[in-house]
Amino acid sequence: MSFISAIGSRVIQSCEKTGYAVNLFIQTIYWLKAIRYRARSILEQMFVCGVQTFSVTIIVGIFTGMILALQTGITLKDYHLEHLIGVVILETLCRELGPFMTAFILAGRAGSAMAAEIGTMKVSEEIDALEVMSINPVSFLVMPRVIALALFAPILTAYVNIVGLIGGSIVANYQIGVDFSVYFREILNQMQVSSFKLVFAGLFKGWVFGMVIAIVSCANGLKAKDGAAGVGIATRQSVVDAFLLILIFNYFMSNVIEKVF
Amino acid sequence: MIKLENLFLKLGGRQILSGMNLHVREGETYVIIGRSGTGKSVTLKNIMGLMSPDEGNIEVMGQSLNTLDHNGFYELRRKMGVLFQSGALLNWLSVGQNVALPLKEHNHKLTSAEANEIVREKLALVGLEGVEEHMPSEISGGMKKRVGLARAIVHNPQVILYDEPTSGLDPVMSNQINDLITSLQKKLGVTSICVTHDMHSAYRIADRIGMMHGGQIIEEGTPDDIRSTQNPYVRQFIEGHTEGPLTANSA
Repeated sequence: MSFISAIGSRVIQSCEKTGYAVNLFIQTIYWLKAIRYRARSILEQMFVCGVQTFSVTIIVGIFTGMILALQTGITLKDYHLEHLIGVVILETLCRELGPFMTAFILAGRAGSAMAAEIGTMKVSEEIDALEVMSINPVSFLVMPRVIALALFAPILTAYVNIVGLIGGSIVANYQIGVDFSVYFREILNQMQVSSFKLVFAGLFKGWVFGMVIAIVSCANGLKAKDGAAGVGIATRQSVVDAFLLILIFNYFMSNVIEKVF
Repeated sequence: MIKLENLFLKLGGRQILSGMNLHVREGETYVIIGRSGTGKSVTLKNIMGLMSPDEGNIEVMGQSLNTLDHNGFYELRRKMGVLFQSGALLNWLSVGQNVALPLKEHNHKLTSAEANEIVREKLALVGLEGVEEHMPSEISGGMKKRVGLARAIVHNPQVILYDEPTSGLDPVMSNQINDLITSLQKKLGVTSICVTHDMHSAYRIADRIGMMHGGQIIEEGTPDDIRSTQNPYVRQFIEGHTEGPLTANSA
């Protein structure tokens, strides 16, 4: 019986948490009306969450492209199709890996920082202080973060895609023996065939992931309790929740994008 | 001015408030004393509207909190100022920006020069000058409380709530905060509720003192009444005896 009640309790907690996050998202949309007063805060968040993530993404992007080039290049070479190596990297990066890797970096780097910052504010009564000053924490803290990540995630996704393609070109040229001109010509040809799906579908995913990460991180931060330990739990949980939701959203969005376009 | 009628509240399976009644008159400073865990801070949070009782009614400035919606709470809170135990300053904003925050949030037409003038005036009222550019991490605990107080009064509130205003401060700084509370009460004519363990502070600032125990006020009176009371719970608390009816689990 205790086993069943433990499962039931977890299910109820998960439903409560989901409800809280959905409610937070709805409130965020409502508070978009205050966006003109939050421009500075949004830019600051874009800098903190986005610009400071550039250095990590350059390494992740280059090495993802290099690994893809190496793994696919060896196989393609067996079938004398190595000139298509750029196309394979382009398709894989832009459709799936680019937005996916970017979202993981953002969840680990920016999302965890958001959860920790808001969690610390929560346990040190700063959120209560905002409430008693009649300042809505969703308008003041959550909305700027959601907008910042929603704007910056697609930019970062495009950046990872470009850096990944450059990384792939280095391996393709020096290890697989595909000339740079052939590599990039095939990429450009492929982009003319399916430019929308390749570029915009990936960027759309990045946009959604940005919002999901920000909402999940802020929700966990706002639910933090019991001092420093509670902030640690909220931070860890925000990364776990964001990773899971990125995976789930990615599957459904890929399905929809393939069917619709 | 502030009325709490028969409040009951359970948190985490524990009864925190059990028929709490309190009536604070306009312009007076009411100090709530009591052991940790008796529900003093919870009472303040109920008055702020950050928590809701399971039963009972709270009336602040003639408005019943039970009937207020979200916007109603926000309107009411603009007439209230709160000094939190830690000061609750936003760490990424300077002292000046912290004090100006409620002003700028509620009046977007206010120019920076006008806001800065009000900030300077309020900081001067709490005995701080020339600290506007400092960050909260660069100032002492006592200064943080004073900045928190300046922020609490920036809107000229009718009610100020203090949560442990002297905790963690040295005796000199504690007395400075006590003097500040009494001088603000005289200058601004505000109604104040202060929660504290510090009996020296309570005697110094209170018009009336109420002792909380078991989720309700068990004794109430002027500082002289409290000093001379024969209530064994109050006597043990104010004298700090380890033996008596206030046992470790009786809070």
